[in-house]
Amino acid sequence: MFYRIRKKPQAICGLLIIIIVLAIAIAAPVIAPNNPEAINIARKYAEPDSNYPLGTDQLGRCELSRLIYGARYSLGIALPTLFCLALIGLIIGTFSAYKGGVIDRILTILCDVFISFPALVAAIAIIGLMGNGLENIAIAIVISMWAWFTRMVRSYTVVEMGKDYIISARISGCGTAKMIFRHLLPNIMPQYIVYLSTGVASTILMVCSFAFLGLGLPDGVAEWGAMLSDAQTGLYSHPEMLIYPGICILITAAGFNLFGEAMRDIIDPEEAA
Amino acid sequence: MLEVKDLNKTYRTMNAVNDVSFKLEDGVSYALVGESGCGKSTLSKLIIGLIAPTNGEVLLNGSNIFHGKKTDKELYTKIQLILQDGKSSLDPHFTVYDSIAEPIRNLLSVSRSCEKEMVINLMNRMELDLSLLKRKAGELSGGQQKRVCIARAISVSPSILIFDEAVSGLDVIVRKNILQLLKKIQKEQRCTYLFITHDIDVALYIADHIFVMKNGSIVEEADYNGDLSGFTHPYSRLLLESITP
Amino acid sequence: MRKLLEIKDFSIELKKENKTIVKNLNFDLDTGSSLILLGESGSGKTLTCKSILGVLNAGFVKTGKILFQGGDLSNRKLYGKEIAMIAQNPMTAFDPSSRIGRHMDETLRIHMKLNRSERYTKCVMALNQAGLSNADTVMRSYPYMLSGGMLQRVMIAIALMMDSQLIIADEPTTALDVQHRNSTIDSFIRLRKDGAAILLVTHDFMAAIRFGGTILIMKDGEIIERGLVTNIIDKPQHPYTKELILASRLSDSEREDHKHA
Repeated sequence: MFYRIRKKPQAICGLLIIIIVLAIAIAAPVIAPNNPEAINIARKYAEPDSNYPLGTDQLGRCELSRLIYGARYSLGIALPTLFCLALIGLIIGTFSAYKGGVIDRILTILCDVFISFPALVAAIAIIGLMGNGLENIAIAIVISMWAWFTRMVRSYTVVEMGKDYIISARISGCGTAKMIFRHLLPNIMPQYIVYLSTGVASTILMVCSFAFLGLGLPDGVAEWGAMLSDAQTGLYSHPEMLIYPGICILITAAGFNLFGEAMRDIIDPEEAA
Repeated sequence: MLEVKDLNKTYRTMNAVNDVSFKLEDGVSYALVGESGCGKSTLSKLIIGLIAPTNGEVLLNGSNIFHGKKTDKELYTKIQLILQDGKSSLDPHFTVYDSIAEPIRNLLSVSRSCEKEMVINLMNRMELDLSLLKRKAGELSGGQQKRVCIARAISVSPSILIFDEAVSGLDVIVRKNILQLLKKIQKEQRCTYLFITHDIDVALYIADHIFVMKNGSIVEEADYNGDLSGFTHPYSRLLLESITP
Repeated sequence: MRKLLEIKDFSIELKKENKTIVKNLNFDLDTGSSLILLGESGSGKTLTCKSILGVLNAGFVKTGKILFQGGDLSNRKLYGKEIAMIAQNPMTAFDPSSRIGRHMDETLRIHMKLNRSERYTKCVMALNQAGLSNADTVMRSYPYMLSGGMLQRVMIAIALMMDSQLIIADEPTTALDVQHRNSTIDSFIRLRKDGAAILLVTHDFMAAIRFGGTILIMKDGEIIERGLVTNIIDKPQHPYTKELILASRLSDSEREDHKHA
């Protein structure tokens, strides 16, 4: 499989982007030239120079440092959140599909209820209740998105359950645990990973959107969405303040999407033979 | 000995299996012939207990498989089922070794070394090269996959083997080899075969006693040893005519 | 009289593995006659079929010539009503969301200039000819309502409607019960009598025997024996042919088994 990844330029491109952004996020304290939160009004909107490679924003903070730290926030919230979503989806989804019957119906209806709430509305409500904070953004995303992941896993599992090898496994004496862990999970994981890869991009966008609207993050934090929001006031005079974080969001989301879609092409076709 | 008594399976408006009764004696080769949609597959799943009947009983050595404390595991050491499509019957990411070892591990309690011996023994009996053990099931040819499925089924030495269209879709030469293999196995293990098929040619080749099924009911049954005169029902005669081109 | 279909020194190679799958095929088909291409999986018959229709996958390299009515087909996709294909699996050959009547009507509209009632009449006639007397009911049905055998007849009806010169039937008996094999082949025999040239691709020897005519037996990409079906059954030359014949008639096989037992 890794051989096939190497052959697809799309996958390599996506993977490269992901690795670069991850590296930037991890190494932020080391590579950022300045403190991203250091305010100095005297130096607002400064031209790019050796100390401030991309200049400063409206409060004199180093733009490049803010962008670098922004990677931390975006990925730092999105990735753990996605991990939780993936786990919840996997557990509840397989359980629901495997048990079938009444339990399945109840869980499906529950998912439908949660899905019918627009993510934004749910987030506003939750943050309104719980206040600002990074964890609360994560919780808000998990509460609004868990049902999507669960439904996806459930449908993968239902498809697998209809296949002959499951009948075969049953008459070979597989109990519930063996069926789920040895047969169902390994066969749905490839498709699920594709779904998760593109899910990362959505989660990052959600984090940025919430920050843009001023939900959940304390003021002044160097997060790309928040930076977009701040840049609105200086739109005509300093459009670059809008473009920089915008490009960062674009490239990061695109990287994950590219990789995810390339993975789908790799995993799906057996027609390549 | 397996006995099916007044077995019925109704799905909403459709009567898939209609008051079916018959007996399977030990060591005999049976065939159940009928067109697609006549209920044969439903019947095979009922007999092995995968689905529950609307009413009726399936008695294995006198006790109903749907009642009592008989666990699934016990049942599957006595009855096994081989499905039509070898490829989809095998988990695509399991190796051939794991595929054959799976029923042994789940249903029998033997040591790892004993299990390995059994798997190798089965591969030899199936005339499969041992180098295939490391390969994934999806990499094998249709005939090879079918042999792996058969190995899985006989690994627990069941007394009854049900074949649900098990040789349909195979190339004719492969089909013949598989059928010859199955005949050999039956002689060795003295088990009962129930061969479910739409192809009466196959049925006549492998079976000593044939049931003819139409629209959920058994319309005729007769012994067969070379002589077709036992089949008098018009539907049976219709099926028999399809052999000759 | 020009030959309808000519395959000259035709080979197919799999680019990736440098393997020759079809080796130097040579055969032709006259207008109004028939040919059976018989072989098991891996014999190359399906790839040959796909090449004639121009739908071979990208990974394959073709050499040699395929001529249809004298014109080169090897590098051109053939559309139109000249060559009709009857697909292997009737259950998946139709758009499940379209009624049969609509499917047939659209096909006619694309290829012929007829008004609505003319198209309707043509459809009904074709369905009747193909053995479906309740044409009206069939046309109003969705594919899922009809059995495999009936859908097969609809495909044959469409081939009839198009007045195609060449009909390629790809494994027409495989997806059906053995009981329907004979009636399906009979439909093709009728088509042949009506003047269509038929290329029957199959692995079913019994179907080949019933259909009759010239047969080419393929193994590993080569034609290992050719002749009339009746002659080949009487005197098979190649050991593979003998094996095939014996395996197809299990009742004969049984007698052989008992001889050796």
